[in-house]
Formats: sequence, structure tokens, C-alpha cells
Amino acid sequence: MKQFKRLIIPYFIWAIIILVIPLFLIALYAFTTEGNEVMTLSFTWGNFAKFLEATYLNVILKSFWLGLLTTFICLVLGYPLALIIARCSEKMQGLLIMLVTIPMWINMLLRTYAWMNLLSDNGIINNLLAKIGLGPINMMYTDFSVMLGLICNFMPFMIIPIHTSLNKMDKSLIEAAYDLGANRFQTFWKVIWKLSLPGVVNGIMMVFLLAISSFVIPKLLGGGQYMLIGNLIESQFISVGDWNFGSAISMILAVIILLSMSLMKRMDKEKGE
Amino acid sequence: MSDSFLELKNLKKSFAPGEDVLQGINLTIRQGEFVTLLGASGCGKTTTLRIIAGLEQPDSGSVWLEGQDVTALEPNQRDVNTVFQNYALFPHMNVADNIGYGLKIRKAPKAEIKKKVKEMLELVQLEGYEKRKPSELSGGQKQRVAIARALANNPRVLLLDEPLGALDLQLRRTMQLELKRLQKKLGITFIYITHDQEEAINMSDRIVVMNQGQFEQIGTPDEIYNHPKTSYVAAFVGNANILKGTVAEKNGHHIKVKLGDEVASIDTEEKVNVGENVTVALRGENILLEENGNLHATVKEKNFAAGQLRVLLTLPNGDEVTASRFGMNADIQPGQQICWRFEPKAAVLVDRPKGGIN
Repeated sequence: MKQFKRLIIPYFIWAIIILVIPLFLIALYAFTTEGNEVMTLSFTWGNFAKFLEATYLNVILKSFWLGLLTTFICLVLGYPLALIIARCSEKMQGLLIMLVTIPMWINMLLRTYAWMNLLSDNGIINNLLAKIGLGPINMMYTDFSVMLGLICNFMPFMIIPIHTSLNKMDKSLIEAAYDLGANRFQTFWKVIWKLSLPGVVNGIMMVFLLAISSFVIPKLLGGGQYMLIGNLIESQFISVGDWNFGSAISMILAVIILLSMSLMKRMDKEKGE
Repeated sequence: MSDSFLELKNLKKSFAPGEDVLQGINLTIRQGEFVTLLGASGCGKTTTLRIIAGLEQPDSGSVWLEGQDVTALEPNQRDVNTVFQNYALFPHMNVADNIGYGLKIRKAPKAEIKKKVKEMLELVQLEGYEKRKPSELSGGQKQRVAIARALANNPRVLLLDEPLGALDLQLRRTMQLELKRLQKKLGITFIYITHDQEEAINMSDRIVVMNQGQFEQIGTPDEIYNHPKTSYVAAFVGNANILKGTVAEKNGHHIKVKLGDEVASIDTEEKVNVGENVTVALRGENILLEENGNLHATVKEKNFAAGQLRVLLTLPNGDEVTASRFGMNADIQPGQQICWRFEPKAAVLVDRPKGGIN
């Protein structure tokens, strides 16, 4: 093993350059005031204190709520799909998983623009509704359109880990439960669901992480006024130019994500007992 | 009723058109019997077991348990439990929860489950292992838990799908004895699947030899080993040599069979006619390499395995037979001309037309 240790060095250097240094810089910005010179740093908690204003707290609450809802809907829709896929023949499974991932081959912006085309007031759906004398229904720039975009974009991240854990599950366990007297519901709840929990937890964490930090989808499908925490960070860096406050929000978001992930992990462990 | 506790009637099954896994099998099993389905992989023995368990539906035919047609019943509605080949223990439950699973599903009171789990652990000699996870058990221990879990439900029939397949030889021997002991003690009907003829002979009351979705022969271990009906059974169970010959003379039960240009005496109960072509099964240990033997052969190869010397012989007619005997004999060398014989009672005529017994 020892001779391989040296092979780690380049990756270690890469990790420092692309992960550690940027993180360090963000932390540095978050704790300092605006307009620092390189040598004269003035530290402050002000950036974090600023976040406690109601406007910003509302943004994070809304992001949190939307992230949870998106994750929940992805789970409810994705689990049965993963279950159905896992029951197909090997060949069919490959095909179906490819179908699930095909949207990801196309640029996310393009997909989001496609939704705008479908949902807008004179878009395809409203045109069709008008033909049968209904509508128009206002769908764009609402919670609905943002969530639809988030769900469609992040669904594969829910389906794939669940499918993986279902697929590697020993099929004879299901037969054993059935053989021992469990009905279909009991078999599902006591065996299949329990054993697929690691996949479920992974799916939840991935989708939640992506949903809570997304900013392009809410920006395009939610309109300019629509503020999620991702948009807030983006605006601090791009339009407002307050990098210090932006960095502070980024750190708050990172801590929130870290806490919710460790909470999920712990729940997963306890359930596994 | 005790005569047909479990009955399989004309079971047929195929997974792909033209490829019949089961070609219409019939079997009657008595209460408390230890029956082994013996056959090479792909012979349909696992499919038969899965149909009995209800995990597979037959294309036609039926399964009867205690006079009731259970063919359409789901696995959870049958008083039949299975010990799976790979154990199939629930990895997220400890040993006690695994064993108590069936009772918990039936909503048995907690005290009763606890009592039963304890009783089962005693039965399989795993006291004190309640809290262990399956991942913390050895192969043999997992096997015991799997058996305990299946037995905790008090099944009418226990199905065992090559339960000892993954264990090493030593452990397999111990577990064979233990399974037999369990079965005798509990009086439950066991249907056991294996491809290992030793295992089948050691444990079974009756052996069913399967080949290509059909039963070759059903009988006690003695019948199967000493009186094989077909060349398949003779070769698979007894590792017998199969020789083709012609009946040259007949004198009551004593016949003389021409093997190529040489003649051998055989005693048989079978009804044969002079001039008839016959198939003779002869086990290796019955081939006697003796100087006064009336038959001839050339030694082709020899090897030594499991305390047995095996000598591959080429007969004058080109057929090959394997002789086996205990101990090492340095005198026999490849290329050597050798004389051999066999006792007239040692050879068995197989592949006889049906109903030909005298």
C-alpha cells in the first residue's frame, strides 16, 4: 500500500486549490467588513447580524419550505417509479434508468426555458386550454412554476439512489418475508422499505441540497421578484456587490445543510437498528 | 390420509416456449417423511420446491396439502416454510427478530414470541445469540438461524433449498446429522434439495432423482444406490460405469453378456432375451483388478483422491471404465495390460423397458 500513498499527493493539492482555499476565502469575507486591504483586516459579526432581519429570515424560511416540499414530492413520485423500475428485467431496467437520466443530458437552462414556453400566459398549455374554452391560467412566476421546475430537474437524483438500493436488495428476502406469512403490504413496509432507507436518505439529501441552494430555476420560473436563498446570495455577489454579506449567507446555508444532513444520517442509523 | 400428506399432481412448468422445466411430475409424500430431490443444476428441483412454497405458479397441475388443493394459495397462506439457499436473513433485524418475524406478522403476543424464539435457539443450539445481527454470524450460524426462523412458524412442511451448499465439508457433515436429528425430533415433513448424492443418501427416507424436469427414479437410498433403474441414476448417484452389451446366453437368472468380444456373467431379476442389447451399470468399487480375471483392459490413467485409487481402463472394444479401490497400489502403471472381473451380482441392468421385472 505504501508505494500508492504518493499517488494521493496531486489529488491532495487539487483538493486544496479547488475546495479548501475558496472555502477559506468565503469564511474570511463573511467575518470581515467591506473594503478591506489585503494586510489590514477588520473582523465583524455584522454580516451575520444583518441576516437576522425579517426580510432575510423570510427568504430562508421560504427556501427551506420549498426545499422540503420539493424533496417530499420527489420522494412520493420517485419511490414508486424506482420500485417499478427495479422490478423490471435487467435489460428493461437499463433502458428505463436511461430514460430517467436523459433530461440531464440537455442543459438545465434549456429545459427551464422549455418550461417557460409551456407555462407562460400565451404558452402552449394556455393556448390548448383556450381552444376548449378554458383559461388562461396564470402559472408562470408562481410557487407552482418554481416547484415544477425544481421537481423535474431533481427527480433523477431521488430515483437513482433509491433504485440502486432496491436493485441490490436480495430478492430472496422479499420471498422469505412472503414465505413467513407476511402479506404484500407487510412485506413492503417491514422489508422492502426498511432496506431501501439508505437510498431514500441519499435521495432526500441530494434533492434537498440541490433544491435549497438552486437559483437559476427560481430566477427564470419565479421571475425577478422571486427570492430564494440562492437568489439572495447571487444578488449579493452579482448586483449588490456586498461580497461579505453574500459570503455570510453562504456560510449560514452551508451550516443549515450540514445540520439537516447529520440529522438525516442519525435518523437513518436509528431506524436501521 | 397419512399416505398422501403432500401430493404433487402432474406439475408442468416452462419459463420459455419449448423449454419445459417440469414435464408433468407426480409425487406423493407421507407425513413426517424426509424426501430429497436430487439432481444436477437445471433439472427442475428448485422450481418444484418453489411451486410447493407458492413462490412460483405451475402452468398446469396441482399441489395438495392434507387433502386440500393449495395450488392457488399465496405463499403466506400456506403452512409451508422455506429455508433459502442463501439463508435470506433480514439484515436489518437481529437474530431474535428474524426468528420471531413469522409470529410477529401473525400478531402473536410478545411473551409467546419471546418464548418461541428461545425454544428455537435452543433447538438449533444458538442460545445467547438473540441480539446478534446476521452480519455478525458465521455461515453455519446463519444457516441455523434460517432453519430456526422457518421452524418457528410450526410449518406442516419444511422446504430446504440446498441449505448446506455454501458451507465447508466438515460443517456440512455436522449439519447433515443435526438436520436429520431435528427432523426426527419434530416429526415435520422435510423436502430437501441437493445435488450432492452423499447428502441425499445420508439423510433421506426417500430420494427422488430428477433429470431434465422428470423423475428418473423414486426410492429409498438403498434402492437408488444398489438398484438404479436408469443409467442416469446409476451414473449420478453411484458414479457407475455404463457398459453396452448383448445377451449371449440365458440360464434362469444367470445371463452371459457380450461386451465387445469378451463375455461377462451377470445375475439379474430382469426378463431378458438372448440377442437383446442391454445396458449394464457397474460401480467402480465392484471392478476387481485380479490376475485371474476373465476380462482384459489397458490402464490409461490413474489418480489418487480421497483415499481412493482410481484407475481409468480402456476395454478391448474401446469403452472406458473407471475402477476404484481403497489404498494406493504402486504396481499399476499407465500403458499396462491388466486382467479384471466383477461379481455377477455386482452389475445391474438399467434402462429396461417398463414392467419387465420377472
